[in-house]
Amino acid sequence: MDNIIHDIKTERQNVSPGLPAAYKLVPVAFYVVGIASIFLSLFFFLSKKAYESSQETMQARTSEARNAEGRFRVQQQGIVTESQRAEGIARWLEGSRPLQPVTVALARSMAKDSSIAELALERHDDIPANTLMQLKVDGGGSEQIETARAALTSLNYEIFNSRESKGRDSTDFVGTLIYNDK
Amino acid sequence: MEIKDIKEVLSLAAFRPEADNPKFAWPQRFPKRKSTILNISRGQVSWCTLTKKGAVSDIGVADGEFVEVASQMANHWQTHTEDGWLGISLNNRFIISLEHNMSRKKGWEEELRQNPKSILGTRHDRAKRYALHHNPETSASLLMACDDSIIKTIEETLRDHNLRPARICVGLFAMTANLLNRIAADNTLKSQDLIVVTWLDNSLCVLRQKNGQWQDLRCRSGLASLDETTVSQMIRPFIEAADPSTRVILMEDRKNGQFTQSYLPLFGNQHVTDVTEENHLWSILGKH
Repeated sequence: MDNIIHDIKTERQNVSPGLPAAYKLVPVAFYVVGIASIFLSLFFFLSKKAYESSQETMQARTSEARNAEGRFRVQQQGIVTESQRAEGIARWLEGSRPLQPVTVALARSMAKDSSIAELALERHDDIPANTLMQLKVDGGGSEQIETARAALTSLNYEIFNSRESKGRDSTDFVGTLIYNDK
Repeated sequence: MEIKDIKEVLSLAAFRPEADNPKFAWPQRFPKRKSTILNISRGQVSWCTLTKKGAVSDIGVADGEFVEVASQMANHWQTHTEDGWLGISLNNRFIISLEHNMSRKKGWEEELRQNPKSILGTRHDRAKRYALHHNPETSASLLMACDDSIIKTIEETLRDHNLRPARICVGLFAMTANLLNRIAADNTLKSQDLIVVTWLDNSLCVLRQKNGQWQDLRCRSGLASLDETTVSQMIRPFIEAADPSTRVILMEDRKNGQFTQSYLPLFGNQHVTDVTEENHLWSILGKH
C-alpha cells in the first residue's frame, strides 16, 4: 500500500532526511568513551588514594624502623664503648703482671762471679704486655746471659728482639719480654 | 560545523528526518515529541495535540476562518508543539475526482510535487496542488486538486505567528485513501458492491466500487452546515444504482459524528457499516 497522506505544502529546499543510521556509532562511541573515562578516572583516583594511604603507612613504618635503628645504634655504640673499656681493662690487667718475679729470677740466676750491674724494666707505652728489659751483667759473659734467659723462660716469658753486646768486664743484654700464658 | 550541529549529533536528533520532510511518516518526524495537528474547515478550525506516546489529547474547536482563529490560538498551539511545527489538514476548497490511466512511473509522488504536469498532462492547472491515490488492481486513481492560494494563505498565516507547517494535507482524501486501502486488503470486501462514504466536517466523498472497480465518485468540500439537500443530491445517484446486496461503508472523522446524526437516513434501507473509530481523523494523521 502506498502512502495515504500526500503533502501539498510549499517544499523547503535542502530538507534533510537525517544522517545515516550507521553514523550513530559516533555519538554512541562518544558516550561509551565518556562513561569509560569517568570510570577510569574514578578507578585511578581510588588507586591513587590507596597508593597514598599505603605510602603513608610505609613511611610510618620506615620512620619507626629508622628510630629503632637509631636506638640499636646507640645501644651498639654503648656496647662498643664498654667493650673498648673492657679491652683497655684487659690490656691493663695483662700489662700489670708483676715484674717482681722477673727481678727475683734474674737475681737468682746470677752465678758467684756474676752480678747485676744495671737492670731496667720498662713497659711499652702502647702495648703494656711488652716489657723492654735492659740488663748489664758484670762477669759471667754470655753464659750468664743464657742462664738469665733460661730463668726468664722458666717464668713463661718469651724474649724477642734480643741483643747482646760484650764489654770489657760486662755484658749488655737488651730484649723485649712477652708473657706467654699458654 | 557549529555547536548546534554537534549537539544534534550527540542528542541523536541529527539522525531523525526533519519535521517537514514529506518522505517520512508523522511518528518518524516527531518520535517521543508532542505535536499539534489542525483541521481547517470552512468557518471552523479544530485541533488536537498528540502526546509524546502518540495518543490524542487536548482536542479543541473554534468557529471562524483560519486567519482569525490563528490569531487567537497561535500561542496555545505554540505551547503544544516542538519548535512551532504543525500538521495541517485542509478541509476546504479542494475536489476529489476519479481518473484513469494516470502515470505511475517510479517516483511519481515526488514528481507530482515537483513537476505535476509530467504526471497529470492536460489535467494540470497551475493554480492547483495535487495528490493521487491509485487503485492497486486497476488503472483507476483518485485525484485530489486543491487551491494553491489557500495553501499559501495558511503558510503565511502560520509564518506570521512563528509557526511552521510540517505537513499540509487534505484530511478527507487521507481518510478515503485509508478506507480504500483497508477495503483492498480485505478479500471479502474487495469483491463486494460497495458505496464508500467518507465525511469530515461538512466535506463529503462518495465512491462506488463494484467487483474491485471504482466506478463513480462525487466529492464536495466545505458544505454548509446541515445542507441536507446537497448531501442528498450527491448520494441519490448511488442509492438509485444500488441493489439489495450493496453495502455502504461509512467513515467519519469521529464516532457518532455529524453525518451519522443528520444524514444516515438518506441511505434508506441500505446496510450501512460504520467503520469510524474514536478521533479517527487525528489517529490517521498521527500514524501516517
